[in-house]
Formats: sequence, C-alpha cells, structure tokens
Amino acid sequence: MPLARSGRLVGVARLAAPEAGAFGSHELDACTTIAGLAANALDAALDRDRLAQSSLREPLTGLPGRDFLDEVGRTEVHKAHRFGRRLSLLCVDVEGFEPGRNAAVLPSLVSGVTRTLRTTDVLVAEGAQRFWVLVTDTDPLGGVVLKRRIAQRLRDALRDARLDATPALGVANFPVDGETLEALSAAAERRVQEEHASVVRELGIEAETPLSAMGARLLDRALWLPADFVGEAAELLIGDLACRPRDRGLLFLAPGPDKKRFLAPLTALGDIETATEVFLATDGDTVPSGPAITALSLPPHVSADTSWIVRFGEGPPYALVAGKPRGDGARPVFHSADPVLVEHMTFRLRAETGFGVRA
Amino acid sequence: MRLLVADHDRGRAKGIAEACTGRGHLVELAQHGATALELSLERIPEAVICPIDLAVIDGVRLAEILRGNPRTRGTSFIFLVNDELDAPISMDSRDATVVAPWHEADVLDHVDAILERSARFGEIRSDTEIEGKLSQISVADLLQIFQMNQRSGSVKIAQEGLAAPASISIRAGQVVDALIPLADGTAVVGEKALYRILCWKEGRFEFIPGEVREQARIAKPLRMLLMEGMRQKDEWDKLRRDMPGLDFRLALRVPREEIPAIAHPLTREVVDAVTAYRKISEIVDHCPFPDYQVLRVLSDLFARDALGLEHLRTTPEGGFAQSEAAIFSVPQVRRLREWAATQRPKAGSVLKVVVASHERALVRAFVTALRETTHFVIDGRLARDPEKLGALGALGHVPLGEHMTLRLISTPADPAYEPLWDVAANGMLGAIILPGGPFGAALEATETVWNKLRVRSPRSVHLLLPDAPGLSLSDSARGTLPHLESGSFFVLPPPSSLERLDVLRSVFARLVP
Repeated sequence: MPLARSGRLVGVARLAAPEAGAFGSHELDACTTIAGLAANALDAALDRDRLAQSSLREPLTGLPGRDFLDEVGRTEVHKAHRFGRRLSLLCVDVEGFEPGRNAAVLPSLVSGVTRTLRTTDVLVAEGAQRFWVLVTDTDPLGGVVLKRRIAQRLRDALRDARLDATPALGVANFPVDGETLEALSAAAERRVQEEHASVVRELGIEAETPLSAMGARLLDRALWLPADFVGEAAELLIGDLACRPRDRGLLFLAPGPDKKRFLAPLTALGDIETATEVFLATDGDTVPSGPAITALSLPPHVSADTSWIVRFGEGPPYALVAGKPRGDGARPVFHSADPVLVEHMTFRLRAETGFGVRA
Repeated sequence: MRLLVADHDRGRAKGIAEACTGRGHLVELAQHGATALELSLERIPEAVICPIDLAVIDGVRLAEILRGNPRTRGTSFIFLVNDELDAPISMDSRDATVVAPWHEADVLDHVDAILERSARFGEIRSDTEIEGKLSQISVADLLQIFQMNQRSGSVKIAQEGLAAPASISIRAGQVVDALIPLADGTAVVGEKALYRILCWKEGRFEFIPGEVREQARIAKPLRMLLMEGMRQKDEWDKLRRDMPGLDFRLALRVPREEIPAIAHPLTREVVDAVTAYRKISEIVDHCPFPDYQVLRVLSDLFARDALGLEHLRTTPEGGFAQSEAAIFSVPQVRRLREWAATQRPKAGSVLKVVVASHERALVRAFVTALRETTHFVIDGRLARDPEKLGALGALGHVPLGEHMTLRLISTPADPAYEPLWDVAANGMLGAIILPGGPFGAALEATETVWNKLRVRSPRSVHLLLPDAPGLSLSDSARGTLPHLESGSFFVLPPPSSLERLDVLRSVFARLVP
C-alpha cells in the first residue's frame, strides 16, 4: 500500500494475511484511510528531522549547520559573480577525532578556528569532524594562508589535548575551481583527499623541513630525464605568462646550470603586464627587464647546481627540483603537480629566500 | 621615501605623519579613500598607511585598485587594524598590519622593513617623470635630453598596434637596450629595435627613472646610433618603394643551394627566416639583422626570381579573409575573441591549443601539413632546428589579427611529462591528439593524456596522420573511425590530396567554442 502525500510517495506499507482473498473492498478502503494518516505522520516526522538537521546551530559544536552555508554561500557566490569579487571555501576535516569520546576538546578546536577568522568570514560545522569556512574577498593565495593558519591552530589544540588526530584541509577558490557553491564544495573536498594522498605525507615533509632536506628527499625519487627537460619546462611556464596574464600567482625560478634557458624566455616576454610575480634566483647576476621580476638568492645550504621551479596561485600547481647533470647532460628530475607539495615548497621558499609570500 | 597617510582619524594621521617626516620621509595626507586614490595616481607613493575601515573606499579595496594599475602596482600597504583577526589576508610580502593602539614606532618599523626590502630586491620603482606624445617630441630628441642630463631609467612607448609598450633602457644617459614586444610573445631587441623605434612618429611615451640592471645589448655611443638610425631609415624607405607590402607572403622558388650568395651569413639567415615565417613583416621581425638589411636581401632575391609571393588579404575587422591559407573564417575568429573575453580570469592576447603525441615524427608531420597548407607560423628556433619538433614547448602560432594569436603547444604524451600537462592545458582553447602506430595501440598510448586534457576542455580531438613516415592505417580501421566518437576523429589525407586543408580547417573548427 503506497503512503503518499500531495502525490509524493513517502513510504510503502506491506499488508499480509494468512489466507488468500482476505482483503476485500471494505478492508482496502480502511487501509487507504489509514495509509493517508500514516503518510501525513511520516512526512511530518521527516520534516521535523530535516528541520532539526538544518537548524541554525549544530548541537555538538554550537556552530551554524551546513544548510546555513548553503544559503549564505549561494548569496556570496552570486555577489562574487556580479561584482567580480573572489572568494575561497575551505573544507576542514579532523581525521581520527572521535566526538563521542573527546567532546571536551571540541570547544578548543572550534575556538582555534574562530580565532583565526576575520569577522566577515563564515564558519559552519557539518557534524563534529568537518568544518566549512567561507572567506570573502580573498584570492587563492590568501585562502592558502588562512588554511595554514587554521591547520596550525588545530594541530596546537589537538597536541594540547594529547589526541592522535590530524587536521586535513582543502581550499577551493572562485572562480578558478568552480563558479557555483556545489562546484566549490566538491573541489574543496577533493583537495582534502589530495592532502591525504600527497607525497608530502609519504616523505614526511613538514612545515619546518628545510629546503635542502626537502630537495634531497624529492631527488631520491627523481627520474633521469634528458638534458633539455628542465629548460623546456621553464620555457613552458614562462611562456604561459603571456597566455594567462591575469592569473594571480607566484613563480619561483632557480635556473642552476640552465641559466640561458630560463633567462631567454623571460627577456622575450618584454614588459607584458602579468598578475603572476616572478622571483628569480640570480646569485647577483643581472635580471632581465620583464614582468614584475624580483631577484633573490637560494639559501647557502642549497646547491647552486640544482634547478628549482615552483608555480603557485590561480594556475595549476607545479614544482620541479633537478640535480646535477651527469656526463651526457641528463639530470635527475623530480617534478609534480601535487598541490600540497607545491604549497609546502612555496612557504619554505618564503621562509628561506623571501619568495613573495607572507604567512 | 614617499608615503601617503590616508586616515579619517585626523589625530592618528597627524601623529603618524609627523613621526614619518621626522625620519626624513616625504608624507602626504588624505582624509578618505577617494582622495588617497587620487593622490596615489598623481604621485605614486612607495607606501600607503591607512586603516582597514578607511572612509569612502576602504583600505583593502584601495590596495586592490592600486595593485590593478600597472603604474601603482609596486606600492606597499601598512594597514591599521583594531584586531589581529581583522587583518586582511594577503600573501603579498609588501603589505603589513599594525594592530591597535597603533604605536607610531610600529608603523616606522614597517616603513623601515619596506625600505630594507627595496634595498634587498632592487630600487623601488619611481614615479613617471616625463610623459607625452611622440607627435610633440621625437624619440631622438628625447634620448639626447636624457644623455645631456646623464639620466638612468627606461622610456616606455605605447603605440597602437603593439602587444605591449616598447622600451628603451638608458644607463647614465647611454642607451643600453631596446625592446619591442611582438604579438607572438617574442620580441625584437637591441639595436634592431632601437632603429625601428627611432622612426616612430606616433605613440605615447613615459620616462620611468631608476637603476637599469639589465645586461647592455647596445654599446655604441648615442650620436653614432642616431646617425645610423637615420641612414637605415633612408635605406628602408628606398627599398620599400620596390618591395611588396609587409602583409605579403613569400616562398622560395628555387632550391636553397641555388640561391645566390647563400654562403653569406646574412643571406642564410634571411632564407631561414623565409622558410620559417613566410610573411614579410614576420621575416623582418624575426631575423636578427637590421630591418633594412633584411629587406635588401629580400628585395635582391625577389628581383632574381628566387622568391615568389602570395597575398593574404585582411578584412576590415582585422581578421584574415577566407584566403587559400586561412584556417579560421571571420565569424570563427570573432567567436574566439568573444570566448577569450568571457574567460575568468580573462585570457591574454595569446590563446593556446595543446598538441599531444607519443611520437615526434607525428608532430613534425602535423607541423609540415600546417605550414604547407595554412598561414601557421612555426616557432623560429624549430624552423632552424626541426629535430626539436615534438619536444615540450611552443610549435608556433596562427595569427588571428588585431594582435591576437593562437599558440600551438606541443606536449609529449609520455607519462614522464604528466605533471606538466595541466600547465600546458591551463586555459587552453582545446587539444589535438596525434595518435601513432597501429590503430588500437595508438589510442592506448595517448589515452591518459586524452582523458586529462578532455577534463580541461571538451573541445579535444584526435587527428590521425596515416601518411606520416613509418605509420599506416588499415582501410578497415579507417572505415570504423567516424563511428568511434562522433566528431572527435579526423584523418588527414595524403599531401597530394586537395582535401588536406579542409580537414585541417575542420579540426580547428571543432576547437572553436
């Protein structure tokens, strides 16, 4: 017997009798009436459930729920579309955290996140293990700064509570990662997965791992590639500045032995205005006039024979480390589009070389 | 250092301004964001000190506006905030925040940090000192003024038709370099560029003083450069009278070894450029010798019948007419422009298409087909060294008119290149996959790159080149192709076929949004 309300199926009742033909028209009429009442009751109960789930506050965290994000987020995405603004959506997962057993720690986690946010940012909870943060008027670079600040605060809170749980965060940016709230949510969740699968975890690279150690670990996994490979990669990335001049980002180039292959395309770019800032490790050499090029030096403990390329920002992430060439010119090269690795390298370069990032 | 204190709180503004003046900085005051914007555009400050909630235009918005302007993009910001949590999230190392109660010493510390940064990373870009029109003062006169005053800096000249402003670098009055950017992303540099700029009568210039750290490509004294420039201009004018227009395309009519004086380096370079670029303006642009010398060689070869020409007509809209060699029709070019304008972030003047293959021979065959049938312009280095065709990098470009070009980027389908596929495909119009080998294996070898590129753009096609050296495609495989995936498989006919251009046009038409 279908339980329907306003033409919508809300459930099904199964009626059984020991003998065949037990249900006549009288019984069927009675069942239809009862089914109508049952459908009303069931629908009301489901509504109540939905309301409870979408109420403004999550019971465990005291934060607004996911529905609140859906409502506010859609408006903000609409505004960003209309007024050409940027925004970021962060997905914060606390892996290994059991709210039932560690309910007392929850307030310090929530406070860790709220203390990091600006007054205009929106923080919501989806259960007690996942948070979402909507940050308006912030570009991808700013979004990642915020992500790292939140991650640090959460790590501090978990360490203080002696819990063996790890925060994993993903950030998605409008409009590069999506132009709807749904697309941004999916991209942020994907980034959380990437955080889990990153080579950074495999190699034990942490925020404090020095650049030289990071380079050595990555070069352990290097492939021997032809002599031209590093130069070709650099030319592709530099040439992309002319194709994508409005992409905001940072490009770090340390040519090592491939100086000519790096400098020629930079010079050829001329004075093209680009939203990507280029940082070139020159060791005191002259800098080609070009699109916002800043000279800097590799740290002393990083070999000048190594080449480094890091691209971070609105375009696809990319990182390359190449070691000393062997006799035939081939070089050991590790390169990757792993966003987590690129982020780590960016912030390490910032700390050790002054690469244009402010944590 | 020139500072701008923008603050509606007059007391706080006065205190900060006095502290900065006391340190020898030049300080201007603005009461709200609109005045601050106006003053910044008039006299570019090295740093703006302002509260986050600045009246009329708030601090963050003001920073965004000034960063969006090429003239003011180098300005640093020191934001005054009530609470650390209100600090704008920026990754820009030029910015800093000072939290209430805004001690003047804290502000000064940040000003010092900006000074230190500028000392570390190079001189802070100064304000434009002189600007005007070339119709009022010639480039030669300008350069002589800078020489007399022993100035250092760069003269930027914006001219209609240029992809980006041209520049002349001057160190202590001496011209050390010149650069004219071209639409294909390359540039004319050194003396060749300078002699060309010296002839310009139209355009806006601005002089940006500052230390010039580039390597000098020009070493001759200015007087000699000006004399040589005048001589070259006279030569050029004379030669132009006997030469076809710059939009004409040339092709060799005799084998290379039969060309007179081919052993001469200049002739060899010009013949290489003719082979690579065909169009006279592009031959002149990409040949490193001075323009008039290139034109003289072309004129000589033309007179000796070693060169023939084909004329490409341009339409009033600036696109190519549907000539024998045009890949795109006028409406298609218009559609490409519309597509570029709607991209977020906006695309530049160089659109891109990725060409992916597992075999270099296929890329060579594809480029040969394009060059033989269309007005595709091969990358100069590849024209000189065709062995490199098929490696990672730009193959060349298709001119779209009005300073827009379509760049073809080759990406090997080898998994070792996988991390670079997304970089190559970033913001691409579409992709052309060139599968090789026996039909089944061909698709397997390029399947990974195909899947990756198709995520980036649905406008991705397969182009099979069964007649490329060493490759073959059975008739049965050929017969089943159109059924595999509607509209995404094309087979290039042999060079003798008249349908070759039509197929290439269909391939590129599939890439038009």
